[in-house]
Amino acid sequence: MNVLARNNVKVKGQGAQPMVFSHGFGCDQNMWRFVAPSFERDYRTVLFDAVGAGNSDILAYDRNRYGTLEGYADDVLEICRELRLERVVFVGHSVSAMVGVLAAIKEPERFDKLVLIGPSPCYINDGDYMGGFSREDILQLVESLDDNYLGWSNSMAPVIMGNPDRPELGTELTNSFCRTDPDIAKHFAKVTFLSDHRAELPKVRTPSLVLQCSNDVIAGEAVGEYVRRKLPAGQMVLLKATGHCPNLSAPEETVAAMKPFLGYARG
Amino acid sequence: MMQGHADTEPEQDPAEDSAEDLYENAPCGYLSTSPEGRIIKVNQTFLSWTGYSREALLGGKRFVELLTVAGRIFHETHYAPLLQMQGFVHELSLDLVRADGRPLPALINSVQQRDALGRPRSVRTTLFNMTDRKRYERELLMARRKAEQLAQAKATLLATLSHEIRNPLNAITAATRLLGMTPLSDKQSKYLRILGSASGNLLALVNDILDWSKIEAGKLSLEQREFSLRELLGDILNGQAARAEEKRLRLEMDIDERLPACLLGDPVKLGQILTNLVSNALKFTEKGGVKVSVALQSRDGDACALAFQVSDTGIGISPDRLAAIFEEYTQANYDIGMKYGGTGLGLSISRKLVELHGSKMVVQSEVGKGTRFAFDLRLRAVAGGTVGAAPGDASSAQALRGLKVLVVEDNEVNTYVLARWFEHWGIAFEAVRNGHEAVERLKQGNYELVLMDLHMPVLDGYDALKAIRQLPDERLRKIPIIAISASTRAWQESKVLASGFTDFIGKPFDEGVLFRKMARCTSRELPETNTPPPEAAPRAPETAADSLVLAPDFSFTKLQQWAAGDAQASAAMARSSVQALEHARPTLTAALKKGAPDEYERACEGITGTLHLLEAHGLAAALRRARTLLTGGAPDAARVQAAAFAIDWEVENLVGALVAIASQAEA
Repeated sequence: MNVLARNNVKVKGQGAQPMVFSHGFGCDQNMWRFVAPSFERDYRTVLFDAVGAGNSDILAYDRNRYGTLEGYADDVLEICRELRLERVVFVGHSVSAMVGVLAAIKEPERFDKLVLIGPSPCYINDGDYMGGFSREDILQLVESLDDNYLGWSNSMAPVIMGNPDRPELGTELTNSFCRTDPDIAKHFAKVTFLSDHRAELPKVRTPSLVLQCSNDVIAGEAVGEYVRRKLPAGQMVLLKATGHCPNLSAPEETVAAMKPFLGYARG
Repeated sequence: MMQGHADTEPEQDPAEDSAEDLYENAPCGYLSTSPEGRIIKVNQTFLSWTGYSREALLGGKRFVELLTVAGRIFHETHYAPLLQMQGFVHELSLDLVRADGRPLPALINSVQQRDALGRPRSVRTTLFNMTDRKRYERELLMARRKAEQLAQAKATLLATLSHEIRNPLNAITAATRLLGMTPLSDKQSKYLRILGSASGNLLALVNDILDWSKIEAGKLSLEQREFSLRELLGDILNGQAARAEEKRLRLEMDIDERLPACLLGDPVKLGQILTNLVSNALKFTEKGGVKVSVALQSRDGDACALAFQVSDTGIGISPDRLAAIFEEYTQANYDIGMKYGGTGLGLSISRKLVELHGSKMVVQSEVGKGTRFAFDLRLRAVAGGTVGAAPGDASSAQALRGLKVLVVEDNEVNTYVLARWFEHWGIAFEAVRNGHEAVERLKQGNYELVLMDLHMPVLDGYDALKAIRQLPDERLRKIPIIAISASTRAWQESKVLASGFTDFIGKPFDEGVLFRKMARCTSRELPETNTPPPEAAPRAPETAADSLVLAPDFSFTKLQQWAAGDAQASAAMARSSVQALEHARPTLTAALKKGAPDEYERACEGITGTLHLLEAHGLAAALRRARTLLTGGAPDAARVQAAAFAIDWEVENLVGALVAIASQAEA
C-alpha cells in the first residue's frame, strides 16, 4: 500500500529540515491552514490526514491497528521513512501530541523537536491526576455519537459541495471541512479519550514545547503543566488564546510562540 | 387625548418595534457570542426554553458551558474548528443543559461576523428546539440497528444453511466420481457427466455463498504462513486450464523474475482471489485469452510490494456498470446472469478479500475489448524459507546425511511417510512402536536424535521421555527428542516443551519444517542459510482450520509424490491407509454416538497422518463437524446420526478409491 496516498500526504516548503504537522480528533490537515504557511520558507512542511479523516484512504482503516494510538504513531513513522525524513520537527495538536510522543520514543534519533499543542496524556481523572473528565463522561460522549447519528453525520458524512482550498467561497449550506466517517469517529473518540499514556512522558528524550491555551475544556492548564513537568526536556508557553484550537483561533500567537523554541531570533 | 394618542400609535415606526419583537420572541433561539465564546446577547425565546435568566447568561458565561460534557467535547473538536475554518456551521446537533438540569436537544447554525480588517468580531447563532425530531431520530436509529442485526442474523443463517447443504453435496459429487470408476454404458456415462457438472456447479455456488456470508459476518482473518507464489499461480492456472482449453482460449502467466521464492502471507485467500478473477475472466471471454501477471513493484528489505493483474479479451463491462460489479448479487446485467449463471458473489468476495489485505481492487474495462482487474499487495519475503527451496534439492539435503534417528511411532502410515523422506535425505533410522521399546533400543543403539509420537500404547511419549532422561548414560539424558503430535491443545499449553522435549512438530507436518528442526536439534548447519529462518506461526493442523477454498474431498497427489512412481509403494501406502481408516471407523462412530470426546479425539489423532497423506478434506470436514456436536452439549440424535453417516460415507469413498490403487499394483 502506498503510505503517501493512504494518509493523503502533502509536502510543501523550501527548507531542508522537515516539519510534520499532525491534526487531532475531529479534524483533518486543513486545521493547519493558518499555521503551516508561516514555516514554508524555512522548512519542508509535511501535512497529512490520519486514516479515517479527511481524504485519507478509508479502506486502510483497520480497527486493530488503530485500536491504540501506537497505530497512529506507526503511521507517522512510516510517512517519515517513506519520505526519508530526518531531524523532524513534529507539530501535533490535541491527541496527535501524544501520537508524536509515542513516535519519538520509538525512533528518538528521527526527531529533532516536538511541538505539542493542547496535549493530554490522559483525559480521565485518576486519583490526584485531574484529566478533566470521568470515565462516565467519555462513555456518554461515545454514546452520544450514536444518538447524534443524524446530527453528527451532517458534519461527518462526505459532502460533494465545498471548496477546502478557497474558504472565502464557503457559503454553501454544507460543512465542508473535517469530514469523518461516523463509525470511525466513534472508534477514534474511544481510542483517544480512554487512552492513558502518562507513563510514556518521562521516556521522551526529544526537546519538547507544550503550547497551552487558556480556558481549554479538553486539556486544561493543569494537564499541560503536568505534561511539561513529566517531559525530561519540556518547556511550556501559556497562550492568551482560549479554547482548544489556537492554531485556528490564534494562528499568529501560535506561530510566534513556536519560533523561539525552533531557534528563530526573537522579535 | 388618550384616545387620540392611541389612534396614532400604529403609525409610530412600526418596523423598529416589530424587529425587536421578532428578535426577542422569534420561534427560534438567538444568541451572540464574543470570539472567545462568551455570551453577549440572547433572546427571550432562548431564555424561556432553557430557563436561565438574562443576567445569569450575560455575566460572562461561555456558550460551551451550557452544553453537556459530551457536547463540550464535540463543540471543541468539531464545532469550533469548523466555524473558524469556514466561517459558519450548519445544522450541528448539540445537547444543551437547561437551568433545571434537563437536556435540550438543539439544532445549531452559526455565522462568524468579522470587522473591517477581517478579524472575527462575534458569532451569531440560531438554535432550534429539536426535542421531537430527536425522538424520531432515535427511532430511526433503533430501526437501523435492528435492520443491521437482522442482516447479520440472515448472513449467519445463510452460512449455516450453506454448510448443511455442502455436506450432502460433497457426498453426491464423491459418489458421482466413484460411479465413474465403474463400467458404464454410453448413455449412463453421459448422464453421469451431467450429474457431475451439475453437482460441481452447485457446490461452487454453495461455497461462494458460504464464503460471502463469512466475510459479511466478519469471521475471516488472514493467516501468515510461508508459501511459494510461483507454485500457487501454477496450481491455479493448472486448475483452470481445462476450462480454457474447452473454450480454445489462451491462458498465460507472466511472473516477475525477481519475485522472492518464498513469501509470508495467506495463500488460501490469495489463491481464492486469483481463482475467482481467472475463472470469471474465462467465463466472459469467447476469443483471445486470459493473462495473469505479477510484478515486483519495489522491495525494501524483506517488504515486497507486488502488483497483481488479471486481464482478458472478453466482452468487457460498460462504464455505467463498472461500479456495481463488486456489489453482492450483482452481475453487469440481468441477461448476463441468465446466460452465464453464477451467484454474482465471486467478485464481491474477491474485493473483500483484497480489502482484508488492506488493499483495493481496481478494474478497467472497455466494452468488446476486455477487462483488467488489478490489486497491489504488500507481502514479506522469507529468506531461506522452506517452500520454493525445499530441502529436496541435492545440496541442502546433504545436511542430515548419515544422521542416526530413532522413530517412535505406532501409526504405520506415519512411519512409512517418515521413512520415505529419511531415505531421501540419507538418514539411517529405525522405527519402534511404543515408548517401552524406545527406551530399550536407545540403550543399545548409537542414536543422535529421537522423533517421538506423544500418543502410543504401552508407554506414551511423556513417560518415555521421563524414562530416557533418567537413564544413567549422560549422552542419552541429553539426546535431542522431537515430539510429534496432532493435538493442538498440547502445543497451546506448551506442555510439550515444558516437559523436556527439545522441540515439537505438529501433524500433519511440512517436510521442510521437519528437516530444519532436525538440523537445528543436531546442530547441523543448513548450507543455504546461516541464520535459522523466522519460525512460521504455529499453525493448527487441518482439523482446526476451517478451510475456505473448494478443496477436493481427497487427492492422491501426495501419495503418488511420495511413492515417486513406485507402484508397489503406492499400493503399500494405500493398503496401510485402508487399514488405519477401517480401524478408526467403528471407534469414531461409537465415540460419537455415546458422546465420548476423549475417545473420539484419540481416534482422530490416530488417523491424522492418513488424512494428511490422502489430503482427505472431505473426511476432515466431516470429523470437524462431528467434533462440534461433542463439544457443544447434548446434541439431538438426528444430528449425531447424520454426522456419523457423513464420516462413514467419507471413509467409504476413500476406501473405495484406495482399494482401486492397491489392486492396480497387483494387476
